[in-house]
Amino acid sequence: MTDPNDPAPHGASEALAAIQASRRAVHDRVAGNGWRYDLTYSALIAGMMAGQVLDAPFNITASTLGVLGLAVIFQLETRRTGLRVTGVSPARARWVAIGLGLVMATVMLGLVWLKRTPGAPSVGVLVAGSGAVAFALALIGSRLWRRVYRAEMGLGK
Amino acid sequence: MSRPPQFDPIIHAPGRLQICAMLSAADEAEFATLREALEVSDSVLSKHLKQLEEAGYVAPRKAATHGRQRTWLSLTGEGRRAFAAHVAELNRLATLAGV
Repeated sequence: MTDPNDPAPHGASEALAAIQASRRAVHDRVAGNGWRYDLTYSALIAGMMAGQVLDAPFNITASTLGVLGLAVIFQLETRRTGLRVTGVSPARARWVAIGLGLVMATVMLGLVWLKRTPGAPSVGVLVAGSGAVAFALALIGSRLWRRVYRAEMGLGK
Repeated sequence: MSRPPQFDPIIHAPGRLQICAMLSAADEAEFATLREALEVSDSVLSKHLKQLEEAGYVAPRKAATHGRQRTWLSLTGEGRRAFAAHVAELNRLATLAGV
């Protein structure tokens, strides 16, 4: 299968180097806004989690706004990079995303249980505490995901 | 299900190798992003993509963004498996050459 637009088929080492370079180009585009994206993502997750401490309709509002916010930052990132990278597609990195989702679901259920427990801390303390914990967990999860994704692309840690 | 290492001449051509490598690192890439990365014209990129599509390795998706039609490309399941098998074969060959 020859192609007039392509040079002659190259050797294995050169081909592997070309693959590495292309993957690095994708990684560099995605990582270009990494910290800003991760901080915004973590803040939205924190808002959603902390909102669960509040009574209806504020908890529902917090969840809705959080989901909308996540959709907006994903769209903006997709437009900026020209690439769509969801957390769950890379084979190994997806387990970090799934794990983070499970941790967040556990935190959310724990909060719902805690706020109904007699002698629970005040709403203000729960909101601040759960927000801070969720922010930290989301940020750690995001950074870990990037690390695993980078390793999965063969770009080192 | 992973395949055994297998050289794939459709993937191995430099332009298509780059396309597959980029798509293997993302869910989808926009046509313009691929063109910019490969530094080729629209027609050359279209030709590469057509060959990959005909092999069942790449799937296009049209989406309107701000009133403009854009094409997004992704590797199919078959494409991901074929690319993984090709990379495994390249690694095997590179190891043999290094011995």
